[in-house]
Amino acid sequence: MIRSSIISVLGALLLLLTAAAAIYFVEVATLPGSAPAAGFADWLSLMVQGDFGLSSAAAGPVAPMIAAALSVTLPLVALAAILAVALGGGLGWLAGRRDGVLQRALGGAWQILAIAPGFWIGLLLASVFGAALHWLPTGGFVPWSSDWAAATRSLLLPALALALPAGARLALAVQHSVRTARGTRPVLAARARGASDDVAFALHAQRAALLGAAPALVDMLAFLFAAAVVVESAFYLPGLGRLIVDGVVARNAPLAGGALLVLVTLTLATGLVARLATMGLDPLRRRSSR
Amino acid sequence: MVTGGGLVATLLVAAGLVSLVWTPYALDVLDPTAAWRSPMAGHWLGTDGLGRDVFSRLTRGLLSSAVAGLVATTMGVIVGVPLGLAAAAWRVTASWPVAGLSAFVGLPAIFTLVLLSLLTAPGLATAILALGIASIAPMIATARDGVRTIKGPVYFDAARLAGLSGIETFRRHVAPALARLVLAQGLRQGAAVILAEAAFGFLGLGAQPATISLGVMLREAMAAGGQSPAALLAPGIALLLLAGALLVAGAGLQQQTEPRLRSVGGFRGLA
Repeated sequence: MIRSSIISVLGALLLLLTAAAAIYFVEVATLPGSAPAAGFADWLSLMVQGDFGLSSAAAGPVAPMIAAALSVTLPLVALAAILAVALGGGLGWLAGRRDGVLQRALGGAWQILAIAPGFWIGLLLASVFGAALHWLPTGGFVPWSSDWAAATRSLLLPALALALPAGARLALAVQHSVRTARGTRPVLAARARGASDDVAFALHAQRAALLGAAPALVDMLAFLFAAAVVVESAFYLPGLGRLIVDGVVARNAPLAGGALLVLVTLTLATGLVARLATMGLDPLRRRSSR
Repeated sequence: MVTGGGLVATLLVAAGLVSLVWTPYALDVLDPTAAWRSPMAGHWLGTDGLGRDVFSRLTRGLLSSAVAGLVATTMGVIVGVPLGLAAAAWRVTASWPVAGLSAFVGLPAIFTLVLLSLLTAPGLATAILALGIASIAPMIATARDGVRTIKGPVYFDAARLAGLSGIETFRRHVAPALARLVLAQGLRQGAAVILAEAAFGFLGLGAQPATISLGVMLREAMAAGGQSPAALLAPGIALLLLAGALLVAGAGLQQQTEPRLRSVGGFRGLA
């Protein structure tokens, strides 16, 4: 357990370092001819200290722009994760408990929803609940400092657009995991001894089902950040995605590179924390050094 | 499953190919007087904000998607499968370098895309290259785990005992099943590439407005604030149909070939 955690942490750090080196290489390669380039070590230590350099569009330092963008992207991803786990995980769990027409129909619907592009769902949600019904804003963002309720409202539809496909994927994995756990020998033995379906499940399948679904949860959490970049765009949200797109369109490498580094760090860190937590929960993995 | 999915995907790609020689309306002729027509007899899916026929552009957009899926997935196969085979053959020496490489090329495709776009210029070709790089890691895993699963059964050991050389055993007992597994995974990855390419086009980081692509069509429909529901719905549904058909065909083929092999982490987007 300890060995494999160390390997996971080192692997993530190595990957992050490689990603940073790639970004550094691109930033240096796109510098205007005469500008001097800092060495990689200096550049990296500045990045770690939160100094992302100057945006080449003469708009000032990059760091405050990233901080402002994170105040949109982080709550958006958190909200989407809660929705996806509550809706997708919860429904998947219930659907896995029985095998009927309804459960199969739900599974089919999730299969379709799982591949639906989040940004397209976002566009549809915005035109139905925003433009047609006027329940929620179709896009844009009210800063937290001016009106936090309005800020939350402007994140609701984007979070739903992110959570629907992610939640559908999670639901499929949870449904599969629960169904598999229900058919294991301890459950069958308990049923043979006369335990009711619910008791047998609670005693012998519940925890295995949770663990079985854990990898899908790790995957989903790490994937949400990259997905958020695209969905933000469908709602004109000023998050990390906008910084990256603006940076590329304006050929502003420090801006796009800094935002990209933050995105990769968040993705890797989320995946790592979730994976370590899963490892800690799994008694088989805790005992062996796998 | 394989037949149904394959049939739908073939029909959609065929519509894209037909758009090369014929479309109901010219693809790029602007007619501002005919902007935002709703679907009717002349224009099956209405017109966009510049008066261009949505159905005609949809067929050409499907072609862009199909080309992106085919080229990027082929890149993944050409680079990934040999690496996966190497990892399976020389387990000790090759597994670490290959694992490191697949972790790096397994970063979200948007990472590679942004860096490549900064170095060159955003466009359909850059997006295909980035997605091709992102397709390598899953292909490595498919080839590596595929060989290991295929090597399990007794007929494999029997072939070795019968005196067949390693290469001959591979040719007779591993290669055919592996080819089908790679095809199955390729179909599914093609779907992921097509979805990601559309997302990049929508962001403005992939295909540019001069290229007709489903993502760009959705971007234009959004910029108009959903003036025409058909222009907003049709490209998304076409995208869903094409990707869904490829996924269904791929899943069916995998099930026929090697039901014991769990798919590589289910469906996972590349974007």
